[in-house]
Amino acid sequence: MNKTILVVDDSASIRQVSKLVLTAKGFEVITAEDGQDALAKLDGKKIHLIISDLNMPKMDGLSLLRKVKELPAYKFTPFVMLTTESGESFMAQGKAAGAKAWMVKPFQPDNLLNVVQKLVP
Amino acid sequence: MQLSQATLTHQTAISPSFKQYLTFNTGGECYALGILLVKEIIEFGGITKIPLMPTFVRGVINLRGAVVPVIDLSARLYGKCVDEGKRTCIVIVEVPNNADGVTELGVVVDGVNEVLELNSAELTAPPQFGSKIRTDFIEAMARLSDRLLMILAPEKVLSVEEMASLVAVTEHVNNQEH
Amino acid sequence: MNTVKLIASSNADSASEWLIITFIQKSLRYLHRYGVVLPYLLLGLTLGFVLAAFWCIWSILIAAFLLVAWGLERQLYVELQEVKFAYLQQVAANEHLQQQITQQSDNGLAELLSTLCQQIELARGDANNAVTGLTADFQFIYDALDHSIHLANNASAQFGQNDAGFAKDSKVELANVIKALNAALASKSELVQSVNYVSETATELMTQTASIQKISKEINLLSLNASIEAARAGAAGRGFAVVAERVRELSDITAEAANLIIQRMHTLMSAVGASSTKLSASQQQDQHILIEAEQKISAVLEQMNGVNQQLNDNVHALEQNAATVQQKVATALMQFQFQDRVSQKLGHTADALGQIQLLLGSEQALNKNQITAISEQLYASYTMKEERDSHQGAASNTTHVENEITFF
Repeated sequence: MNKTILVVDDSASIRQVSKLVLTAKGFEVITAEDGQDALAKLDGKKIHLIISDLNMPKMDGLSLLRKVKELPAYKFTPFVMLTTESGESFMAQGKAAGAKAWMVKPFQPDNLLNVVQKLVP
Repeated sequence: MQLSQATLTHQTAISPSFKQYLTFNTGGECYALGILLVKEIIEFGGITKIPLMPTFVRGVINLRGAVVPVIDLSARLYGKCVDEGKRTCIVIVEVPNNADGVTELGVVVDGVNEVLELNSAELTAPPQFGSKIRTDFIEAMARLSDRLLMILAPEKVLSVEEMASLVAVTEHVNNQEH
Repeated sequence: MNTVKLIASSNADSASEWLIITFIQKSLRYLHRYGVVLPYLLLGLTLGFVLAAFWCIWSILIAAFLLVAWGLERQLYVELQEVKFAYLQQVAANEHLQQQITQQSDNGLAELLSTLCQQIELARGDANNAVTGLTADFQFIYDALDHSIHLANNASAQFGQNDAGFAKDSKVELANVIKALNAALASKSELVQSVNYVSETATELMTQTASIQKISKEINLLSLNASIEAARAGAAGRGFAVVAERVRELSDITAEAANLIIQRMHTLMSAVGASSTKLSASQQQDQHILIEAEQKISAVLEQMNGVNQQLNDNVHALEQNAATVQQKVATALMQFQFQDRVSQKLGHTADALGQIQLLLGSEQALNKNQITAISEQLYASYTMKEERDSHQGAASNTTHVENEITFF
């Protein structure tokens, strides 16, 4: 069975590009527009990896990360921040909240795949 | 066979005019010779040609050590030599000579047919003309079911003069042999 | 920016400052009128009663003091006058400026800002829509290419298999056909052999029949001779003559039978000979056809192989081309991420403009603190390093590559 990845980003282009890159390598991709949407789409599904933007309307990436870490089913699901934000303080917050990696946009598709393959063996 | 032999014996006994003939073909015609003249029939072959002889003299053969001259009947009758075929053979005849003896002579014919027994009633005189050959050569004629048979007169056909010349030839050859 | 600074300096003294200054102004005016005479009168009366003795000294001292005080008072007054004048001037300038600002405000600065914000939002929306559409299109192209590559791969795989399988099958099948033809030819040649054997046997039989003929002829001659012997023997030879005649007849029959056999044999032989000739000719023709068929088949197979090879090559080329294009499309897709960045930057700018517009709507003028506050808020909202660099006046370097991945 294919591994499933949840991509959360308020930018449609980022969602599409991510989906394209990942589906090309055989991953199942679910997309969400913001944190709330993402929580709604988790819905007990088996998710192998969550990739989220930081700045999003309604619920930002860090809040989503913290919420996800509170959910028993997704507590150990690897979480990757994919954001234009490269500030040290944000990264520190992400690290503290339990993110596995921090990727700065724009990303090279190969790099995204490297990260995904490292976290979802 | 016993029966037929008996019948034949009986027939011969009651009608002494019955006479046996050897029939043969020459030049497309059927001829016959009195059987008592015929000594034997041999296959054609072994003839040694003799030069400066009339065409009807084919040559001589060695018959059990005796030199026998051979004449071609067709040549004698029609002046045309026999074409040798499978059925061609030599009839050895005994012709009486001047010295009250007999001379053996070979006659080349196209083929011998059978030994025929004819009674004198069946015979007619030869025609005076209309025959292809000299009428004096024919002794008599017999009408068979399908053909006409000419019985040759041996003393004419195989004449004394010819015998003499033939004897001379024979002697010449014999002298040469000696 | 200049306008904003002017507004800030004119606003430095607000209403409270104004009241204090007015009070001081009025006090000084009373002091100037009454303050100097009254204290001296009171002091003189008191001193006249209490200190008569020291009057001379005190009068000298007081006189000196008065002198100093008066001088100081004069000096202070002059200074105050100067301050007052300067202030009035400033106030006048302030008022003028404020008028100007109000005028400008009234002239539609706020509206302008609002329009700018709207334009920025519009641009964001357009860019977003365009890029989303483009991305979808490119995704379609990418998918189509993927499909093409898949198809090409399939075709190639099939061709590859068929090249081995189909051609091999054909070869085997055709070889079988040729084998079958060869077998047919072999059986035909067996037939020819049989016919030849029959012919040979018939010839042999004919020879034997000929010998029978010869024998019958000899027997005929023998029987004739026997007949002659019998005739010469006279009456004694009669019985023997009959036997001889019978033998002759038998030899005739034998000869006839042999003749008939030979005739039939001749018919048979000619028939067999014709069959044999025909068979041989047909065999040769078959062999010729077989060789031709083999040549044609191998030619066709070769041609087929050639076509297969070419097809394979083409499919491989197609595959490679498609893969290259797909890579390029993927790269192009990555470039679409700029939309996200542009959108964010425009968003931040629009937010700041919105705040300024809000303040301008509620207040007469913006002071420096407010401006600073907005500026700081804007800075805090930045997510990209290049945004911060640009805000701080550093040269904006969009090609700057940040450390893309950080694993925790």
